[in-house]
Amino acid sequence: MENIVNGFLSLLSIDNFIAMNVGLCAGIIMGALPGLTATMGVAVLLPLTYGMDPTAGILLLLGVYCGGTYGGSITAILIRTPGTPASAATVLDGHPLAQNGQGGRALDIAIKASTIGGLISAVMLLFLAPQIANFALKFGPAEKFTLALFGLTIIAAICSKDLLKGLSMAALGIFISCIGIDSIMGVPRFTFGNMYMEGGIELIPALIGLFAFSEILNKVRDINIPVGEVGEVKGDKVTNKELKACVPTIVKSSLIGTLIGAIPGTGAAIASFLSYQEAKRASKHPEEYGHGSIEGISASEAGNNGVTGATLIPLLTLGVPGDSITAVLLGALTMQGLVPGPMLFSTHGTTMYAIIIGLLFVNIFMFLQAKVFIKPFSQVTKIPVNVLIPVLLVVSVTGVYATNNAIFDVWVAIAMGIIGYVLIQADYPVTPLLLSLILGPMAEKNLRQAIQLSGTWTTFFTKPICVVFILLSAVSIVFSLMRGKTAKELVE
Amino acid sequence: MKKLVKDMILNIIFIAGGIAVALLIPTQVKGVNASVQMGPDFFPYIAAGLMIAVNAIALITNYFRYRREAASGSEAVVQKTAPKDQMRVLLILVLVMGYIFCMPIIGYVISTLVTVNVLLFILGVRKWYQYVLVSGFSMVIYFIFKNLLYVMLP
Repeated sequence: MENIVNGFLSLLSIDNFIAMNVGLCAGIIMGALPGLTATMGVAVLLPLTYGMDPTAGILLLLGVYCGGTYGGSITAILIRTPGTPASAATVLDGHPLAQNGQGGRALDIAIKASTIGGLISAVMLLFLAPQIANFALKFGPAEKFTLALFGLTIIAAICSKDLLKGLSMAALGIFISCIGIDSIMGVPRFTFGNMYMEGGIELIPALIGLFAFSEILNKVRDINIPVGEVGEVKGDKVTNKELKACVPTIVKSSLIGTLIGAIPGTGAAIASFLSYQEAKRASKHPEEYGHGSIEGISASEAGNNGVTGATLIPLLTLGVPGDSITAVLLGALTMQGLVPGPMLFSTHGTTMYAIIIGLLFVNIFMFLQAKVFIKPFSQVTKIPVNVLIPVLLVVSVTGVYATNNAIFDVWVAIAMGIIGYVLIQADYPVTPLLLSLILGPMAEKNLRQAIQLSGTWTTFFTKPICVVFILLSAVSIVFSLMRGKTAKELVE
Repeated sequence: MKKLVKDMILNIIFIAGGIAVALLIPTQVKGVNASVQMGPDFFPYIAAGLMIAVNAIALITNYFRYRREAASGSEAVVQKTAPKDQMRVLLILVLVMGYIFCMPIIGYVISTLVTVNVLLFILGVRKWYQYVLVSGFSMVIYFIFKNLLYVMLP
């Protein structure tokens, strides 16, 4: 309780509120621009937080995250192009409304549903995270290894349409994570005598390379593909009666989003579609879905923003990032000296509660910004892509360089960008590669420690928590195989 | 190119990569001690083995699927990117590499200003004020990182 009160008091500073709002504004703009995801926004702006106070820095990035997740709905509704994958379901009902001159109503329900979804998710984080962190304090090396194994398998299984491609990327990520000095015996691995390689492949250059540089190359390739013109935002807001009618759907979708978000490897896009489908199934008027249903938009947006707080649960309590955005946030937290894991709430309780309570404020400010600035935000797509590309390049290169003041990191980012660009074109998912870079070292260190302590492999099959994680890993692989088989049957 | 053929080529590349990693381990991972149950070479072997095994399975399944689809005439084709678009990507990549190579030699400001303006030209930007805006923005980034974040840019 003391930590919660201290956290709330330390949150109340002008720097923190400025950071939240700057992040939100940047995030909404990034989310609204087709092809620029919230992940890319967080990755590109992360270096700007290096010199900031930890709370302000993390709140800025959370602002980008929440704003980016909501921002995708703007272009989804107005020009039928989701700004982020999480808003793909919003297109189904948002754009038909805009075509009927009611874009304003669609945007209004989108921001209201997003805000409620984000708030519910933040409240769940506030109450659940400390409990899970307390439980996770019991984890020893064996439990941490099986947790990392679960994280690796579920990410490879769920992040990709093809399990084998996901596992290939996970294997590549594990190999890349082995480059550098071995953390237990202190010997060099795959350094080829190069002193820069002894530090290993740093997370920030790798993720900026995979998410920013590869996307820049995609944009260069697709420069001639036209993006629709955004007209004026027209139409009234939703009435109180319409909003009241959507409340049960919004709450249910928020809870679905929260549940999905708490599971590693899922993400806002899945939450958005699942919420939409469930709302359609339970609706009294399912025939309206796909033709401009206010309820449909509210389901999709509450679902995708419902993920934002929940994805922080496995990250903060277990140190396991659930998706690419939380992987970036893990990098940010580590750079600020806040190492995610069970001890985080014990060693930095005040800061953690400041951040979690700050997330509530982020959602409130997101609502206010969207209400006031929706017309300027909607004009953001008028920025030509060929002007945006050099801007993104400069910010990315400078940001990567700033990590360690080393040009070597920029070369790493370029190399990862090329790998990402080539493999994405072949439908290989990059998220398993990134997350393996994080979970690989965690798995290796804890596996070797567990074996050294117990002297036998049976330790993983005698400890109950380990057995649970191993079973969950097996289930995620079977689930992925079944999902792939069902998709193939549907196609045939 | 047929999608499955592209997939099989990548499977072969991954298998070759895995084999290369496995062959490199004895020379690139030092300090391996036979008395230690799990040394620094363990995880690299796991990564190499996983890469080889997963892609071998994928190669076999893709091959049989390819034969099946070829027999029924229903092969999926990869959407081809126009050569002009691929050349543009390659050109930009060369430009970016040149930028990074030159940055420590001629400094951040000059290398960045030259790169962004050349990049804008290659991407077809022809309005003079857009060149001014982007160059100005680049200098704002320089100012923020150098003077506010105290990053020592070249």
